[in-house]
Amino acid sequence: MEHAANLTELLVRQKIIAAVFIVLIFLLTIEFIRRRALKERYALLWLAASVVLIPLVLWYELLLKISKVLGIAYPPATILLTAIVFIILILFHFSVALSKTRRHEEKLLLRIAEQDERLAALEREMTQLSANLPPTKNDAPESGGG
Amino acid sequence: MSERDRPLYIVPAYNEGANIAVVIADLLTVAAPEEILVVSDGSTDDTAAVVRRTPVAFLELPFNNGVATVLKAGFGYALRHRFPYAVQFDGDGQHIAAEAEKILAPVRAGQCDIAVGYRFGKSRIVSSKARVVGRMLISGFLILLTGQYHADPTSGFRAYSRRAIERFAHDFPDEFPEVESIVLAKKFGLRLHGEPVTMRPRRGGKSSIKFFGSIYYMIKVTLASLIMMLRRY
Repeated sequence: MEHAANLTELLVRQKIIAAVFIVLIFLLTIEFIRRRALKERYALLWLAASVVLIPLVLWYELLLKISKVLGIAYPPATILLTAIVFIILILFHFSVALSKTRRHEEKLLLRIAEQDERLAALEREMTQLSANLPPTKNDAPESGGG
Repeated sequence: MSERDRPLYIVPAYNEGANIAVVIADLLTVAAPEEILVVSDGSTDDTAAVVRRTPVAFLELPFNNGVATVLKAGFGYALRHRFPYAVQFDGDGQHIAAEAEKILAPVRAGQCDIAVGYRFGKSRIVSSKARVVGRMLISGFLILLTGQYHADPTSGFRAYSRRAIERFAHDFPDEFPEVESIVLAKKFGLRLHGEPVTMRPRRGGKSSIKFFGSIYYMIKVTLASLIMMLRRY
């Protein structure tokens, strides 16, 4: 009986290891935003994951209650499930963000191509215009001497 | 007043085809066409066509990227064309060109680097409770971070000094810049000032910040402002 209780109750050592890991993720996320290596928009789910996981790890009664509601017999699995749900959310968020970036990339591509074409047309027009102009004072010696 | 004392009016416009012509006409009563820069933030309506029929300067961003990008474009333009001041002026018709001098005056006088115009007196509009609470939260939050009270930190009617333009052209917040730019100004040592102005009620009544977006707005602005306090500038 005592053995079974030890199996499900999180050990202090396990709690510390999990909590330290989560706090590290949280601090790393903050530090990356501070260094501008990460935009707030893409950091929010990481921060949310840390904020949700910490009480689950440290507060065993809460973990038990949630496990009961979800019908999970082995409470630590609830922590794992929560982490997996966040990973899925983050990945999906990235897929959406990547799609948006691709859409924007295409718009930029088209805009650059259009500008290239307009610039080339403008250059042709300029060349034609200057060819049709009477020679200016600067051009005179060259055309005269030829 | 000499030519070089005149500001650039930066007008952000996102799908403002219905309002932008009136806004430009209003601005043309106080500024020359080359002193007005309309920036379309990837509008999908006829904003670009309407603006191109007017003589003002115009930038069209290839896709919608938020008012922060519009302002970055505007500050860069002001720098390249050596404007000594800039005025941020909404394209939706709620700001009044004749009121711009009120926010420009303290900047011209060297009393501040950024003057923010806030709605005053009769021009105050009835806002939803959530909006009022949100604005109070932001004002309180800004007192904590900057030690200064801001009557309307979300106002987009602002005048900038040359120094402010230079700093912001180099480094400016993204997405929703109004509140964060106040924190950033503090970090840059730029002096802020609030000036009461008359504004028109919003046309159509739709804000660029929608309900679900408003939750993200509050979280993003809070997080970004707090992290800004951790940065060295």
